[in-house]
Amino acid sequence: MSLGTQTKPWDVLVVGGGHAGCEASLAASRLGFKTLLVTGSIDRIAAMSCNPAVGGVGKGHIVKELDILGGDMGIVADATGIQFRTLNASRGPAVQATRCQSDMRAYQATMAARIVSQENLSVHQDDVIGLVNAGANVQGVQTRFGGNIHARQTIITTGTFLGGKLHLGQDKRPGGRAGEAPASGLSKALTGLGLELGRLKTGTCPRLDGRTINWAVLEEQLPETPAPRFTFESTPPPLKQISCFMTKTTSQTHDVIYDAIHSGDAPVYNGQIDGTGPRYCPSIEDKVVRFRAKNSHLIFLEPQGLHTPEVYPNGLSTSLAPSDQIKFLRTIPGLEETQVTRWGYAVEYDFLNPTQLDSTLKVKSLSGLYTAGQINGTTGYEEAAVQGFLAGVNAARALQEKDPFILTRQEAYGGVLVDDLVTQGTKEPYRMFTSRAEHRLILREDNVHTRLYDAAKKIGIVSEDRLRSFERFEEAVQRNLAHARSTTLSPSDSLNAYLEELGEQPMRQGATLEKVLRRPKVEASRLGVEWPSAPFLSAGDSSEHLESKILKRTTIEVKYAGYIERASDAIAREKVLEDAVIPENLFESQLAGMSNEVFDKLSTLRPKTLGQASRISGVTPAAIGLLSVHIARKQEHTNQVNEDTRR
Amino acid sequence: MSYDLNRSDTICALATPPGRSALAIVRVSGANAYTYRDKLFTAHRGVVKDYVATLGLLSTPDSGEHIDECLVTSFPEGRSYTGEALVEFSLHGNPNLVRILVRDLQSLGCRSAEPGEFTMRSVLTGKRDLLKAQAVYDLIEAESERALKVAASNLHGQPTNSIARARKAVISVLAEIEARLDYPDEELGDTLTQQLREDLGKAQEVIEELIASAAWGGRLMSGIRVVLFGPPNAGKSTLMNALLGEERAIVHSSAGTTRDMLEAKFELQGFSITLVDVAGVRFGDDVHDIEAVGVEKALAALERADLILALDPSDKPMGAKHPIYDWPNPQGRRILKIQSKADLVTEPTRQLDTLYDFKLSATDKNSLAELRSKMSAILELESNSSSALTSAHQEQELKHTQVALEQALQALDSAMPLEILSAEIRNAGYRFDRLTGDSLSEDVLNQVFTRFCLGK
Ligand SMILES: Cc1cc2nc3c(=O)[nH]c(=O)nc-3n(C[C@H](O)[C@H](O)[C@H](O)COP(=O)(O)OP(=O)(O)OC[C@H]3O[C@@H](n4cnc5c(N)ncnc54)[C@H](O)[C@@H]3O)c2cc1C
Ligand SMILES: Nc1nc2c(ncn2[C@@H]2O[C@H](COP(=O)(O)OP(=O)(O)OP(=O)(O)O)[C@@H](O)[C@H]2O)c(=O)[nH]1
Ligand SMILES: [Mg+2]
Repeated sequence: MSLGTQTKPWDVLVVGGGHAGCEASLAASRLGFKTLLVTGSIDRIAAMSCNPAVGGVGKGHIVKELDILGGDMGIVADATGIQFRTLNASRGPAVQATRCQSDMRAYQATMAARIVSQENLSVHQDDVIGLVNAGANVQGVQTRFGGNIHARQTIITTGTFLGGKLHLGQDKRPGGRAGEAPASGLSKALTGLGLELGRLKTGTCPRLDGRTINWAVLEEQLPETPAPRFTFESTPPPLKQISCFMTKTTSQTHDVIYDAIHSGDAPVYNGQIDGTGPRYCPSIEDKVVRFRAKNSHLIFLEPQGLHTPEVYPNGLSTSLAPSDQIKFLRTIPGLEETQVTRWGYAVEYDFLNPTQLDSTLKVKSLSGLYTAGQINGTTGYEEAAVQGFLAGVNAARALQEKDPFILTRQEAYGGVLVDDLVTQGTKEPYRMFTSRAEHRLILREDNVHTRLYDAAKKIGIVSEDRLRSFERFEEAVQRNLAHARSTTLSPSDSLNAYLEELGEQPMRQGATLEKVLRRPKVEASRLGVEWPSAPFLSAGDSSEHLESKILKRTTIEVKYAGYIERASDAIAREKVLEDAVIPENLFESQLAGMSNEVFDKLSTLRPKTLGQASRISGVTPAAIGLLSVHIARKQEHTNQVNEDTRR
Repeated sequence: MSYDLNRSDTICALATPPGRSALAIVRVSGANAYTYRDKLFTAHRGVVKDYVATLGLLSTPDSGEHIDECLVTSFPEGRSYTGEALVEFSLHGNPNLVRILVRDLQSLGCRSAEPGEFTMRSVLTGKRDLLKAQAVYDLIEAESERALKVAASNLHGQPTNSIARARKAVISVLAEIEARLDYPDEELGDTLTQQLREDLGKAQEVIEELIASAAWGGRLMSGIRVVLFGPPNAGKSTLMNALLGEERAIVHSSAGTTRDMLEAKFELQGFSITLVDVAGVRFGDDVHDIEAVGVEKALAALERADLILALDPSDKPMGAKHPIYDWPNPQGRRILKIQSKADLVTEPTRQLDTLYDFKLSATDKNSLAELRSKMSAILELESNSSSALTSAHQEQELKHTQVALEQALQALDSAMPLEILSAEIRNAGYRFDRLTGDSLSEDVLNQVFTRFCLGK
């Protein structure tokens, strides 16, 4: 294993040191494989190309899932966060989500440090310009400077760099990200292997000099205390916690943007950009045009770090010309005299239609090649990270000749993400939403270590000790639940005072703890009860945080018991479809009675289970019924053949 | 029976009743329908157009021997009853001709259809929903004008439309909920609940109406059961014969004539009615073995009745001691209390009059006509909606839908968080889909189609 003149191929080669590439290379090397990360710039490993934040609704869930499975994003985010918050705090437990502002430099540096110090993992700076392959077997990559590098498994995580083109007003130039060159050659290599690429676009905000913002007139958003955390261990944040501030666009802002669009200065509207942008994280140009009725949009001013004055105005993604950018910025309260440090811009790039991948993120038509991250049509650090992790794990498992590791939709957002990508593909940058999950009530942040315990164990990156902590946590919750059922609470002055404070009826006679806890706003931690989890925890893990997490979880399990149970039942029902494996050879010949359109879809996408087939757009319930009949027939046939040969 | 379908094949079946007749129609559906047609049929004018009946010669593929001159109508894929390519051969109605054609079709690779398979394919291809498929069945099986009307209205899509409307109202709020959950920073306001409560309430009304109509719809299809009940010698069998217009039951002046249960169908104002005559009922120590068995049967018949005619003979009135008052009537069945043999009333029985709804003399034509119109008025009242779901399976699914809607309302009322509300609404949506067949499972298919006749 050496670079350039190789004698022995690397086990796993990861192209691109973004959020996907970092997780991929860490996972593969931790599973014991000699891994090489080749990236355009070692100094830009784990760069946050867009906002200085991790988590959010749907995304926080993913980070926590990664943390339980053995990924690093949560650890690094916890170590470098400067403001933590729970979004949707006033909503139900399933949509509450953790988000943090990160010190961008600290995030990058911390992740990079983990990468370079990782055993089995080497890092190399070069541009990958092509692939090395023998037919459908990918055997490594071609680099610009160092020649070919051979590998048994290759994972491409090049983000927005494939055929990247940057737009700023009417100016357009090749680029993967501000200040970085695009990847050339790689797109061609992929299409040369018969893969289909599409074009997407995304944009980012201008950055402001915080010293030129009039903070005094703005509404402050304080950090939440105690800070909610991503990692299971939840130790307190090491960095200083700071505030964000809020402002709003004005009708004047919107006028300026309108004028700019009409003068043909907006690449999104003048036909300069062909790629499809995201509907949900739209540029301010898009927002102004699409939501004409709204004359103001909320803007969060987020510091990019503790040691930089740069501020990220969240909500102002734009690719207007610089002169227009500064003009509209200065119509926003607090920004009247602001200076821009970097202009906002849009990037247009190639992506690989993800229906060409199987559920392990391996390219179906090739061996030895995986793709993960934004190259698969997603957007967001978290979405990229979990894909990178899963690709890394599966590349390693392929080398170990182990069965693939697939997260299901029923157990994780990561599963929803991958399943959506490989069965539906995407026409716009794919971002996670909780509404994408059928079983949102089960896929909560608070139970992540329980629902993914088996998965973590199967992967084998997480230590025995850590697994044991997950178990202890769960045992403590179960003890609390048993306690709640068997304990009677008698009315007391302090208890009734608490109930009154919540606007609840006071208690007149005794009731089980469970019953009291079922009342809408009541929380386990406030009942003045000795919970069995308390001494249990302080014996082992003595974190105050874990304690409060256990009580929160207890509260949720009691309050929503009926609903959670029903959701679990639905999962069990669905399992029939998910467990119905479609034989590999089912689509070899036309399944008549099935329309050509549906058959074509199924035979190109080759879903592995009936469940997957049912999620392919255009595949009707009727077609699923039909398919199940065919599977049964095929099985009957196979059994028959087996029996005949046995005889 | 379970649908063991080789869906890759083309199916055929006789669509008209077997036996000799003026015409016999053989239907062929599936990807190869046109190919088979062209191997067996030569149009006189050379071309066969879609949708147009074409005259030509039918011949056996091997020998080329002519079998019959027949009409062929072809329907292309997507525009046929089944949604597949479909060909109808209209032959002269000789069973031997039919046998030869079916045999020739089979020799080409065609398979004999299972009962209901044509209609099932139409559901699988999305040509019609489950409700309409059921309506097709009902239309064929309908035994009365009333049942026909209901089936026609169902086929026209009345329940399909009201269910679709209810579903839409319930589901439409989901997007609003989701936006609030996934965009916590947008200020979207929380004024959803009032609208949602109304929508759920409306959907519930629709479902409740359908449930009420389903019980009735089932009876419309299978016949409304009218049980003649009363003490021995009350004139039950006499009334049965009078209503039927024929001497079906034995009538005798001695009490205890009828021992067994006797059923007969007749039509009343477009309603199909099953009349049930049973043994006279009395209780006491002197009721001997056989009679006791008859009494038991009579009481059992009451449980399944839709309308009970309780007869009390005026020559030996039971009054408040009539056995109908000993029956608890758990389902609240409609009971018409009749003073029978009214022509024998010698002295006025005023103190009893309040007990009766009707006075009947079975020997008097006018009195009988009055009874008939009284009965049909009662049935008319019950069937106030023109469309009604008809199968027990549909009724079951409706009840599941009702429960799902109730659960959603409960979540709303107990101020459950939005994501829980969303889960409940999705569940209700799933239940709606099962009703219409937008979510199909094998059990549903089997439930619906096993009862169909061949060739449909
Ligand atoms: C302008 C812009 C705006 C964005 N806006 C948003 C947003 O609004 N919301 C949001 O959620 N996300 C946004 N993102 C997306 C977010 O940054 C990405 O989704 C995420 O970083 C993707 O991670 P990745 O690992 O797939 O790729 P990246 O983080 O982009 O990493 C790719 C890595 O691959 C390396 N690389 C590329 N090509 C080669 C090559 N040929 N050889 C060697 N190395 C190579 C690069 O140097 C880089 O290190 C935006 C990104 C950009 C650039
Ligand atoms: N005058 C008169 N006689 C009637 C009338 N209805 C029935 N009868 C007579 O009453 C006797 C009994 O009639 P059924 O019809 O056999 O009575 P039932 O109720 O069926 O009696 P069981 O079968 O023994 O329970 C017969 O002799 C009938 O002719 C009526 O309306 N007027
Ligand atoms: Mg009788």
